[in-house]
Amino acid sequence: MKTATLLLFSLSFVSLVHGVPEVEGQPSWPDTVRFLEQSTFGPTVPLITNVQQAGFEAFLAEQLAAPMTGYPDLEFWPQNRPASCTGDCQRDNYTNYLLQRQFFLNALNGQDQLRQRVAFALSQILVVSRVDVPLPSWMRSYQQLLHRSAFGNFRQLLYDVTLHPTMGRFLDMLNNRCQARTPPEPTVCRNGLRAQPNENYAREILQLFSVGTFRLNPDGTRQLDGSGNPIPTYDQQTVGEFSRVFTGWILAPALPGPSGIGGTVPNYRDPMRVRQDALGREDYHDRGPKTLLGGFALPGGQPQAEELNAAIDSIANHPNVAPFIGKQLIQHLVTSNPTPDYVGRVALVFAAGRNSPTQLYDVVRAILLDPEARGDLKDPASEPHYGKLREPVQFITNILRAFSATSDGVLNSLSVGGSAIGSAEMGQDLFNPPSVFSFYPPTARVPGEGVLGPQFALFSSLTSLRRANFANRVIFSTIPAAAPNRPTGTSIDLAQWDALANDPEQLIASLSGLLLHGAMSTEMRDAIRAAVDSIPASNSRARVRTAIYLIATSSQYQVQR
Amino acid sequence: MTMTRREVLCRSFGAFGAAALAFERFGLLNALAQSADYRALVCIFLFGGNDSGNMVIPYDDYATYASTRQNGGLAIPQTSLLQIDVPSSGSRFGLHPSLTGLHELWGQGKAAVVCNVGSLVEPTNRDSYRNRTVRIPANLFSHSDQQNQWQTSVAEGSSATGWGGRTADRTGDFNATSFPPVTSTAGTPIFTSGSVERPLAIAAAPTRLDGALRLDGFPNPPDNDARYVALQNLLLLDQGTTLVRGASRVTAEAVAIERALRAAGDPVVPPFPLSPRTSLGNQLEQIAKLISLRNELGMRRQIFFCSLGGFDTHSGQVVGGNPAAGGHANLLSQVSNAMRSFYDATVALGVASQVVTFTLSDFARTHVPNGTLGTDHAWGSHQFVVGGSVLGGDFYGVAGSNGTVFPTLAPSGPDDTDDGGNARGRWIPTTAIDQYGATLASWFGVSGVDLPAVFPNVGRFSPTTLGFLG
Repeated sequence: MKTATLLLFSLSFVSLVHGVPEVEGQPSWPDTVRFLEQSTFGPTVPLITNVQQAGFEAFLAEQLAAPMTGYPDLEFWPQNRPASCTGDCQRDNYTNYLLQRQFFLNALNGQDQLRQRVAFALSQILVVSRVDVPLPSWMRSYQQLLHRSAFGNFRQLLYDVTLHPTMGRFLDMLNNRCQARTPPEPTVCRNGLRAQPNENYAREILQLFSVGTFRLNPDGTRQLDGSGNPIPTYDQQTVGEFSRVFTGWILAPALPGPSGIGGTVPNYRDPMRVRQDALGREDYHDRGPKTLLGGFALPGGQPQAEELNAAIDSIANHPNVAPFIGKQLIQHLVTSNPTPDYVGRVALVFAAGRNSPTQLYDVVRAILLDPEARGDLKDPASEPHYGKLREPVQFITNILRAFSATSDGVLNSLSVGGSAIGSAEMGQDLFNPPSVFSFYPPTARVPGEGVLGPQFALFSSLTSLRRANFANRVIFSTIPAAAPNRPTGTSIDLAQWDALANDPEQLIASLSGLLLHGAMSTEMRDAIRAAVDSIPASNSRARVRTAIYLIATSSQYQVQR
Repeated sequence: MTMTRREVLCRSFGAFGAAALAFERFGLLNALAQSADYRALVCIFLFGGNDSGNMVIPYDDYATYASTRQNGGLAIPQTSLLQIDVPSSGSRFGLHPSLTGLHELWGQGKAAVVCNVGSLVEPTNRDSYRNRTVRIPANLFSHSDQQNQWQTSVAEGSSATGWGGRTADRTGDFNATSFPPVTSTAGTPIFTSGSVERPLAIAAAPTRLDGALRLDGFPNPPDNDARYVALQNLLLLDQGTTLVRGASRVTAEAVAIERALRAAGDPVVPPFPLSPRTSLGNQLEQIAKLISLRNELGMRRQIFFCSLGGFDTHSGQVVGGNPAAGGHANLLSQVSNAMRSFYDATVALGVASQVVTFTLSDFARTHVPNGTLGTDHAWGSHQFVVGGSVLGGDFYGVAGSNGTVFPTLAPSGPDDTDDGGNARGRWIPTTAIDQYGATLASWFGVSGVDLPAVFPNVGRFSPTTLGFLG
């Protein structure tokens, strides 16, 4: 079976180099590889051949229907760890260990690849972090929301995110209260506190989750005023007004504690609810009038939940949302420097789907099928800035999936033989970004260049070599099991490649087809060939390993093009 | 003839040249006589926006501070403040009780505070801000924008480089080596990038210095290994693709410097390691180790970057009912201990007067707290400067409307952006980042002629430098 697959793969490559479509009407091998780099956690030979036969549309439809993998249930534990909970209990209920493992297991083996990929992108836009979310059960319920909503409606997602208790805790909408003002206005706030509402969620939902700081044209470029300066989308006054809307929400009723512990624990499962005093009044909510985005006025005195709905509408209906979110999804899936036309086409789909229950699916479909995403090869001469640097997680999963890895999923925080080679050590500690700005700023540039390369913020002398060391470890050896937290370790399977080792030209060409969609330059081939040829043909595995190592550590492979 | 780093970078097209040179120089420079001419700048970025309003507090005028801060439960009790005399102001202030190490350095005249400094396009006061008769920085109160402005010194428009990197660009000729002049233990933020110079990122302690960069899987020396040769050759290819070119730049330098650092060993610089270890302590420890090798590496000018996060204290900044304790107190304690220990390390290395350590942070926080034991985003902030050349024990900056460098702590008052009964107290800076940076860069060796190339807008502010370095 494996031999047959490899043969098919090799034949595919032969037809690729001669420029002949394998079958009329089917996508080409290279474009299929590129498509799967953009839509999954890494192409595999069987997946490439399947998608070639089925076509991109059919694959997308299948992905829409595929059951969600997600994360298994985690018991909700008390916020403060009981003294009896140590060892595995502490690891599983008070660290993200199980979630991080499951993330990689899903990415390596799950069938709902596109949903996972989009949910991962959304998790870097609508960010929460362990920095202020200490329990994995709290983190899990939020990540499940992102997975459930990955193909859904953006306005609904924004609403659900806003009321999710984990976001409430992370950005302080939870327990945010109205404040008695000076001069006092007793009709506005009933709880008598004398400080000011917390501005955190109000600012970041505007800046990061929806509209951004500058007014955008429908193609994502900035609008400019008469003097050529960008125009702010909102100001501090607007942030203050939203901070007053976002008052009065508290946790839903407590949940029963875990078996054997008992009692009750905070509810980070259900949406936050309206706080009411003994008389049923919304005594934490600021009832004064407010002016929201675009001058939209709330008259005041309305029920708290109605005000929240109106506020989410005022944000979700802003014309910035489609290009602002659409462009970021393009950057997460396809390329760091999309043309304005590309952004415009995607934003159009985003805006048209405003009331659709599959709005985000339609947006992702438009991103992946766009002419700017597709093609066998992006010519360096005409599109020199095309592509994106693989972020650490995708670097790891793409290598492992390409070579049929078996893994326990312990790949986030990883030290083997004194070498730090996990995604966390490469700068991407899953579920623990440094702040709501996630792992890297969308404004980061390619070193020494004027163009955007957000993921380059995670690519330094230190992390570049850690990537190479990860490749060295899995290609030349294995990540061994290590009690208690690495039950089986991770190994790739190179058996089917040995047969190609006595024909270095074919070996390298086949690897180029799998890892670089056949885009390897002749100079690159020659450089790798020299190293492979230095190894006796009798040592076929060493030849295979050398060729894979040199590709996997190359800059050409770090960049998804 | 000694080749300067700039010449090295211009001449060597890629990895090969740089790799060979780095190794050769490292060997060569062991034999060079020690140079007394050494200077280093060490930047500590406090990510999230440090509440410096609770770091430096009026003691004589405590009531003004407390009257607004106590509403949200955030006023540090006067009795717990670490008193400092501030000669230029004629009154006493207090440091947060966690800052015992910095308080000692203040007493020794080795620590100073630059007051109410922040991002400015041009000199700005309450009237000109509120009437918009001046240009104001882009996206005030936003983390990402304000971090960027602190690191680039450019408050409107955008900049592709930071002032740390640009300072290195202008002082590269001091170093007779191809070892990078900018080293970071906290990634490669824009502060560290110049037009010519690119930062080296290394692992913090407890990672050994000779393993602070590490490439596994090759013999030592690796020069005759065909795979190693191929690895380097590949870094020269496909240069027509922008992202590939950028990645190869980073990796080529990493591969070259990894070779050089193998000879570094793992020096011990007391009082490091700290017990217990802390994030910032580990970073400053590695920096101290690298400074100890300055002669072997041929370095006469070095810029370092390290950072600590967690300062975005919107809630839980203090413990309810005990404002001197809590998350912010713990962060300040870590900063103070690490800076104090690092100063002691420079004394041990004999370079105390040749190293200046300074803080940056997104912004200060609202003087009026919010209702969740926290504070929100503001603007002008206070920053610490430490070193043997610091004219310590005093405040520095540009005097505002009250005649001192310290802002008037009155919501809706002469230094606030806000107005009315719900004003939060976001102080308009009287001192520009450009002036703060120019003081450091001038001491470091950037000439007056070159200063505008490092701080393009410094000419808008007077004086150009603030006088806190002797």
